[in-house]
Amino acid sequence: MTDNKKQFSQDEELSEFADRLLNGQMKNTASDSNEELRDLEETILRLHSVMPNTSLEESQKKQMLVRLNARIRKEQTQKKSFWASLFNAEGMQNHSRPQFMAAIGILAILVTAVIISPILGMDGTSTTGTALNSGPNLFLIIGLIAVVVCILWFARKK
Amino acid sequence: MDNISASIDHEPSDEALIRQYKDGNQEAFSILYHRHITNVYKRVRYIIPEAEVEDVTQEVFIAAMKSLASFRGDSQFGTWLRTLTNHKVAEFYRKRTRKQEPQLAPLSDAFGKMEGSTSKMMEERIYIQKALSQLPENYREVIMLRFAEDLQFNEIAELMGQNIEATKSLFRRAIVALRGQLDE
Repeated sequence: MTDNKKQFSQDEELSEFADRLLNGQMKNTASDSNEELRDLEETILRLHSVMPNTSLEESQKKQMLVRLNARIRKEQTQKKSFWASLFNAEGMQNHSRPQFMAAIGILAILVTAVIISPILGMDGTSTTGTALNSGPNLFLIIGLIAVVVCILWFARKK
Repeated sequence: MDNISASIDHEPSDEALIRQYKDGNQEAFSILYHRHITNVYKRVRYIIPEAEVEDVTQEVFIAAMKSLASFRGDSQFGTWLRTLTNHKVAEFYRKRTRKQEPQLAPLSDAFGKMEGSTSKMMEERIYIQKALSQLPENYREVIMLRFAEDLQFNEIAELMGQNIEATKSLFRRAIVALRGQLDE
Protein backbone atom coordinates (compact mmCIF):
# COMPACT_ATOMS: atom_id res chain seq x y z
CA MET A 1 0.00 0.00 0.00
CA THR A 2 1.41 3.44 -0.92
CA ASP A 3 1.76 6.13 1.74
CA ASN A 4 -1.12 8.14 0.25
CA LYS A 5 -3.45 5.16 0.23
CA LYS A 6 -2.40 4.22 3.74
CA GLN A 7 -3.10 7.73 5.01
CA PHE A 8 -6.42 7.89 3.20
CA SER A 9 -7.37 4.57 4.76
CA GLN A 10 -6.36 5.80 8.22
CA ASP A 11 -8.33 9.05 7.72
CA GLU A 12 -11.43 7.01 6.93
CA GLU A 13 -10.97 4.49 9.75
CA LEU A 14 -10.29 7.14 12.37
CA SER A 15 -13.25 9.32 11.41
CA GLU A 16 -15.48 6.24 11.32
CA PHE A 17 -14.22 5.31 14.77
CA ALA A 18 -15.07 8.81 16.06
CA ASP A 19 -18.55 8.59 14.49
CA ARG A 20 -19.27 5.23 16.11
CA LEU A 21 -17.93 6.39 19.47
CA LEU A 22 -20.09 9.51 19.44
CA ASN A 23 -23.11 7.42 18.43
CA GLY A 24 -22.49 5.17 21.44
CA GLN A 25 -21.64 2.14 19.30
CA MET A 26 -18.01 1.88 20.37
CA LYS A 27 -16.33 1.82 23.75
CA ASN A 28 -12.87 0.41 23.04
CA THR A 29 -10.19 0.79 20.41
CA ALA A 30 -11.03 -0.96 17.15
CA SER A 31 -7.65 -1.40 15.46
CA ASP A 32 -5.80 -4.33 16.99
CA SER A 33 -3.44 -4.79 14.08
CA ASN A 34 -2.37 -1.20 13.43
CA GLU A 35 -0.46 0.24 16.37
CA GLU A 36 -0.40 3.81 15.05
CA LEU A 37 -4.12 3.86 14.48
CA ARG A 38 -4.76 2.26 17.85
CA ASP A 39 -2.78 5.05 19.56
CA LEU A 40 -4.93 7.66 17.81
CA GLU A 41 -8.11 5.84 18.77
CA GLU A 42 -6.94 5.80 22.38
CA THR A 43 -6.43 9.55 22.21
CA ILE A 44 -10.00 9.96 20.93
CA LEU A 45 -11.30 7.67 23.68
CA ARG A 46 -9.40 9.68 26.27
CA LEU A 47 -10.79 12.94 24.90
CA HIS A 48 -14.34 11.61 24.78
CA SER A 49 -14.29 10.05 28.23
CA VAL A 50 -13.32 13.16 30.18
CA MET A 51 -14.53 16.10 28.17
CA PRO A 52 -18.00 17.52 28.90
CA ASN A 53 -20.70 16.52 26.44
CA THR A 54 -23.92 17.25 28.30
CA SER A 55 -26.23 19.84 26.84
CA LEU A 56 -27.73 22.86 28.57
CA GLU A 57 -31.19 22.44 30.02
CA GLU A 58 -33.86 25.01 29.26
CA SER A 59 -33.91 26.21 32.88
CA GLN A 60 -30.12 26.75 32.80
CA LYS A 61 -30.42 28.77 29.59
CA LYS A 62 -33.06 30.99 31.17
CA GLN A 63 -31.04 31.51 34.34
CA MET A 64 -27.99 32.39 32.28
CA LEU A 65 -30.03 34.87 30.23
CA VAL A 66 -31.25 36.55 33.43
CA ARG A 67 -27.65 36.86 34.68
CA LEU A 68 -26.50 38.09 31.26
CA ASN A 69 -29.19 40.81 31.23
CA ALA A 70 -28.23 41.82 34.77
CA ARG A 71 -24.59 42.14 33.74
CA ILE A 72 -25.50 44.18 30.66
CA ARG A 73 -27.64 46.53 32.76
CA LYS A 74 -24.81 46.88 35.28
CA GLU A 75 -22.28 47.67 32.53
CA GLN A 76 -24.62 50.21 30.98
CA THR A 77 -25.07 52.04 34.28
CA GLN A 78 -21.34 52.20 34.98
CA LYS A 79 -20.15 55.33 33.23
CA LYS A 80 -16.79 54.82 31.57
CA SER A 81 -14.06 57.41 31.99
CA PHE A 82 -12.86 59.26 28.91
CA TRP A 83 -9.50 57.45 28.90
CA ALA A 84 -11.08 54.05 29.45
CA SER A 85 -13.45 54.53 26.53
CA LEU A 86 -10.58 55.81 24.37
CA PHE A 87 -8.15 52.98 25.05
CA ASN A 88 -10.42 50.09 25.98
CA ALA A 89 -10.26 47.27 23.41
CA GLU A 90 -14.04 46.65 23.52
CA GLY A 91 -14.69 50.22 22.54
CA MET A 92 -12.18 50.01 19.73
CA GLN A 93 -14.00 47.36 17.76
CA ASN A 94 -15.09 49.75 15.06
CA HIS A 95 -11.77 51.51 14.88
CA SER A 96 -8.77 50.61 12.82
CA ARG A 97 -6.76 50.24 16.01
CA PRO A 98 -3.06 50.59 15.00
CA GLN A 99 -3.74 53.59 12.77
CA PHE A 100 -5.99 55.16 15.38
CA MET A 101 -3.37 54.80 18.10
CA ALA A 102 -0.64 56.10 15.77
CA ALA A 103 -2.77 59.14 14.93
CA ILE A 104 -3.30 59.85 18.63
CA GLY A 105 0.46 59.57 19.19
CA ILE A 106 1.23 62.00 16.36
CA LEU A 107 -1.43 64.38 17.68
CA ALA A 108 0.20 64.32 21.11
CA ILE A 109 3.63 65.10 19.59
CA LEU A 110 2.24 67.98 17.51
CA VAL A 111 0.37 69.49 20.44
CA THR A 112 3.57 69.31 22.50
CA ALA A 113 5.50 70.96 19.64
CA VAL A 114 2.96 73.81 19.38
CA ILE A 115 3.12 74.39 23.12
CA ILE A 116 6.90 74.38 23.41
CA SER A 117 7.79 76.09 20.10
CA PRO A 118 7.74 79.64 21.62
CA ILE A 119 10.01 78.43 24.41
CA LEU A 120 12.49 77.03 21.88
CA GLY A 121 12.46 80.26 19.87
CA MET A 122 10.68 78.77 16.91
CA ASP A 123 8.24 81.65 16.68
CA GLY A 124 10.61 83.74 14.59
CA THR A 125 11.06 86.66 17.01
CA SER A 126 14.02 87.98 15.01
CA THR A 127 11.83 88.46 11.96
CA THR A 128 8.76 89.92 13.62
CA GLY A 129 6.37 91.41 11.14
CA THR A 130 7.50 89.33 8.20
CA ALA A 131 5.47 86.62 6.52
CA LEU A 132 8.00 84.04 7.62
CA ASN A 133 7.56 84.55 11.34
CA SER A 134 4.53 82.30 11.55
CA GLY A 135 6.11 79.62 9.33
CA PRO A 136 6.86 76.80 11.78
CA ASN A 137 3.66 77.30 13.76
CA LEU A 138 1.61 77.42 10.59
CA PHE A 139 3.01 74.05 9.51
CA LEU A 140 2.35 72.65 12.97
CA ILE A 141 -1.23 73.89 12.94
CA ILE A 142 -1.82 72.46 9.47
CA GLY A 143 -0.33 69.17 10.66
CA LEU A 144 -2.51 69.29 13.73
CA ILE A 145 -5.65 69.76 11.66
CA ALA A 146 -4.58 66.91 9.33
CA VAL A 147 -4.10 64.55 12.27
CA VAL A 148 -7.45 65.50 13.82
CA VAL A 149 -9.10 64.76 10.45
CA CYS A 150 -7.28 61.39 10.36
CA ILE A 151 -8.48 60.53 13.87
CA LEU A 152 -12.06 61.42 12.97
CA TRP A 153 -11.73 59.30 9.83
CA PHE A 154 -10.41 56.24 11.68
CA ALA A 155 -12.91 56.67 14.49
CA ARG A 156 -15.93 56.89 12.22
CA LYS A 157 -18.56 54.13 12.42
CA LYS A 158 -18.14 51.71 9.53
CA MET B 1 -39.98 33.60 28.45
CA ASP B 2 -42.98 31.77 26.97
CA ASN B 3 -43.08 34.45 24.33
CA ILE B 4 -39.50 33.59 23.45
CA SER B 5 -40.35 29.89 23.06
CA ALA B 6 -43.31 30.78 20.88
CA SER B 7 -41.13 33.02 18.74
CA ILE B 8 -38.58 30.27 18.32
CA ASP B 9 -41.31 27.94 17.06
CA HIS B 10 -42.04 30.40 14.23
CA GLU B 11 -38.34 30.24 13.31
CA PRO B 12 -37.56 33.69 11.91
CA SER B 13 -34.12 33.57 10.30
CA ASP B 14 -31.07 34.89 12.12
CA GLU B 15 -30.80 37.65 9.54
CA ALA B 16 -34.41 38.72 10.14
CA LEU B 17 -33.79 38.78 13.90
CA ILE B 18 -30.65 40.86 13.45
CA ARG B 19 -32.60 43.37 11.36
CA GLN B 20 -35.28 43.52 14.06
CA TYR B 21 -32.64 44.04 16.74
CA LYS B 22 -31.04 46.84 14.71
CA ASP B 23 -34.51 48.41 14.50
CA GLY B 24 -34.67 48.44 18.30
CA ASN B 25 -36.42 45.14 19.11
CA GLN B 26 -34.49 43.87 22.16
CA GLU B 27 -36.55 40.66 22.21
CA ALA B 28 -34.94 39.65 18.91
CA PHE B 29 -31.59 39.37 20.67
CA SER B 30 -33.12 37.08 23.32
CA ILE B 31 -34.32 34.77 20.55
CA LEU B 32 -30.88 34.78 18.94
CA TYR B 33 -29.43 34.02 22.37
CA HIS B 34 -31.73 31.02 22.89
CA ARG B 35 -30.95 29.73 19.43
CA HIS B 36 -27.16 29.87 19.78
CA ILE B 37 -26.40 29.60 23.51
CA THR B 38 -26.03 25.80 23.44
CA ASN B 39 -23.31 25.80 20.80
CA VAL B 40 -21.46 28.75 22.31
CA TYR B 41 -21.63 27.20 25.77
CA LYS B 42 -20.49 23.76 24.58
CA ARG B 43 -17.59 25.30 22.69
CA VAL B 44 -16.49 27.47 25.62
CA ARG B 45 -16.94 24.63 28.11
CA TYR B 46 -14.79 22.36 26.02
CA ILE B 47 -11.73 24.56 26.32
CA ILE B 48 -12.17 26.92 29.29
CA PRO B 49 -11.94 25.88 32.96
CA GLU B 50 -15.37 25.12 34.38
CA ALA B 51 -15.38 28.00 36.85
CA GLU B 52 -14.95 30.55 34.03
CA VAL B 53 -17.32 29.07 31.44
CA GLU B 54 -20.39 31.18 32.16
CA ASP B 55 -18.35 34.35 32.41
CA VAL B 56 -16.69 33.82 29.03
CA THR B 57 -20.02 32.79 27.49
CA GLN B 58 -21.55 36.04 28.75
CA GLU B 59 -18.67 37.99 27.27
CA VAL B 60 -19.31 36.38 23.89
CA PHE B 61 -22.95 37.52 23.90
CA ILE B 62 -22.14 40.98 25.22
CA ALA B 63 -19.55 41.41 22.45
CA ALA B 64 -22.09 40.09 19.93
CA MET B 65 -24.68 42.57 21.15
CA LYS B 66 -22.22 45.46 20.86
CA SER B 67 -21.05 44.41 17.41
CA LEU B 68 -24.40 43.48 15.85
CA ALA B 69 -24.85 47.03 14.57
CA SER B 70 -21.80 46.51 12.37
CA PHE B 71 -22.69 42.94 11.34
CA ARG B 72 -23.01 43.08 7.58
CA GLY B 73 -24.07 39.51 6.94
CA ASP B 74 -21.00 38.59 4.88
CA SER B 75 -21.05 35.24 6.69
CA GLN B 76 -23.78 33.36 8.53
CA PHE B 77 -24.50 34.60 12.03
CA GLY B 78 -23.58 31.19 13.49
CA THR B 79 -20.17 31.30 11.78
CA TRP B 80 -19.63 34.89 12.92
CA LEU B 81 -20.57 33.95 16.49
CA ARG B 82 -18.20 30.95 16.38
CA THR B 83 -15.34 33.28 15.35
CA LEU B 84 -16.29 35.70 18.12
CA THR B 85 -16.28 32.81 20.61
CA ASN B 86 -12.80 31.78 19.47
CA HIS B 87 -11.59 35.37 19.94
CA LYS B 88 -13.01 35.49 23.47
CA VAL B 89 -11.39 32.15 24.34
CA ALA B 90 -8.06 33.40 22.98
CA GLU B 91 -8.51 36.64 24.91
CA PHE B 92 -9.16 34.66 28.09
CA TYR B 93 -5.87 32.77 27.77
CA ARG B 94 -4.01 35.92 26.69
CA LYS B 95 -5.20 37.81 29.77
CA ARG B 96 -4.18 34.94 32.01
CA THR B 97 -0.74 34.79 30.48
CA ARG B 98 -0.34 38.57 30.80
CA LYS B 99 -1.33 38.48 34.45
CA GLN B 100 1.12 35.61 34.93
CA GLU B 101 -1.52 33.63 36.67
CA PRO B 102 -1.51 29.88 36.52
CA GLN B 103 -2.49 28.74 33.02
CA LEU B 104 -5.63 27.13 34.35
CA ALA B 105 -8.13 27.77 37.11
CA PRO B 106 -7.44 26.27 40.49
CA LEU B 107 -8.59 22.69 40.52
CA SER B 108 -10.76 23.31 43.56
CA ASP B 109 -12.75 25.99 41.66
CA ALA B 110 -13.57 23.65 38.85
CA PHE B 111 -14.10 20.65 41.08
CA GLY B 112 -16.64 22.47 43.19
CA LYS B 113 -18.95 22.91 40.22
CA MET B 114 -18.73 19.43 38.76
CA GLU B 115 -21.10 16.95 40.24
CA GLY B 116 -20.27 13.33 39.59
CA SER B 117 -16.72 14.03 38.45
CA THR B 118 -13.76 12.59 40.27
CA SER B 119 -10.76 14.78 40.95
CA LYS B 120 -8.67 12.54 38.70
CA MET B 121 -11.12 13.08 35.88
CA MET B 122 -11.02 16.82 36.48
CA GLU B 123 -7.24 16.83 36.40
CA GLU B 124 -7.35 14.89 33.14
CA ARG B 125 -9.89 17.33 31.70
CA ILE B 126 -7.76 20.33 32.62
CA TYR B 127 -4.73 18.62 31.12
CA ILE B 128 -6.58 17.95 27.84
CA GLN B 129 -8.00 21.50 27.75
CA LYS B 130 -4.48 22.85 28.05
CA ALA B 131 -3.31 20.57 25.24
CA LEU B 132 -6.25 21.64 23.05
CA SER B 133 -5.56 25.31 23.66
CA GLN B 134 -2.02 24.82 22.39
CA LEU B 135 -3.02 23.20 19.09
CA PRO B 136 -2.94 25.16 15.82
CA GLU B 137 -6.32 26.81 15.25
CA ASN B 138 -7.47 24.61 12.34
CA TYR B 139 -6.68 21.43 14.30
CA ARG B 140 -8.50 22.67 17.39
CA GLU B 141 -11.42 23.80 15.24
CA VAL B 142 -12.02 20.42 13.59
CA ILE B 143 -11.91 18.66 16.99
CA MET B 144 -14.28 21.20 18.53
CA LEU B 145 -16.74 20.98 15.65
CA ARG B 146 -16.85 17.17 15.83
CA PHE B 147 -16.76 16.64 19.60
CA ALA B 148 -18.04 19.84 21.23
CA GLU B 149 -20.67 20.78 18.65
CA ASP B 150 -21.32 17.21 17.47
CA LEU B 151 -21.32 18.14 13.78
CA GLN B 152 -20.97 15.35 11.20
CA PHE B 153 -17.89 15.33 8.97
CA ASN B 154 -19.91 16.39 5.91
CA GLU B 155 -21.25 19.39 7.87
CA ILE B 156 -17.75 20.29 9.04
CA ALA B 157 -16.49 20.02 5.46
CA GLU B 158 -19.20 22.39 4.30
CA LEU B 159 -18.44 24.87 7.08
CA MET B 160 -14.73 24.80 6.37
CA GLY B 161 -15.18 24.96 2.61
CA GLN B 162 -13.32 21.71 2.04
CA ASN B 163 -14.22 18.32 0.62
CA ILE B 164 -14.94 15.55 3.09
CA GLU B 165 -11.67 13.69 2.41
CA ALA B 166 -9.64 16.81 3.26
CA THR B 167 -11.72 17.27 6.43
CA LYS B 168 -11.13 13.69 7.58
CA SER B 169 -7.44 14.06 6.84
CA LEU B 170 -7.36 17.29 8.88
CA PHE B 171 -9.14 15.47 11.70
CA ARG B 172 -6.55 12.66 11.74
CA ARG B 173 -3.69 15.17 11.74
CA ALA B 174 -5.39 17.08 14.54
CA ILE B 175 -5.61 13.92 16.64
CA VAL B 176 -1.94 13.15 15.91
CA ALA B 177 -1.04 16.68 17.09
CA LEU B 178 -3.21 16.32 20.19
CA ARG B 179 -1.55 13.02 21.05
CA GLY B 180 1.81 14.77 20.65
CA GLN B 181 0.73 17.53 23.05
CA LEU B 182 -0.57 15.04 25.58
CA ASP B 183 2.67 13.03 25.43
CA GLU B 184 4.84 16.09 26.09
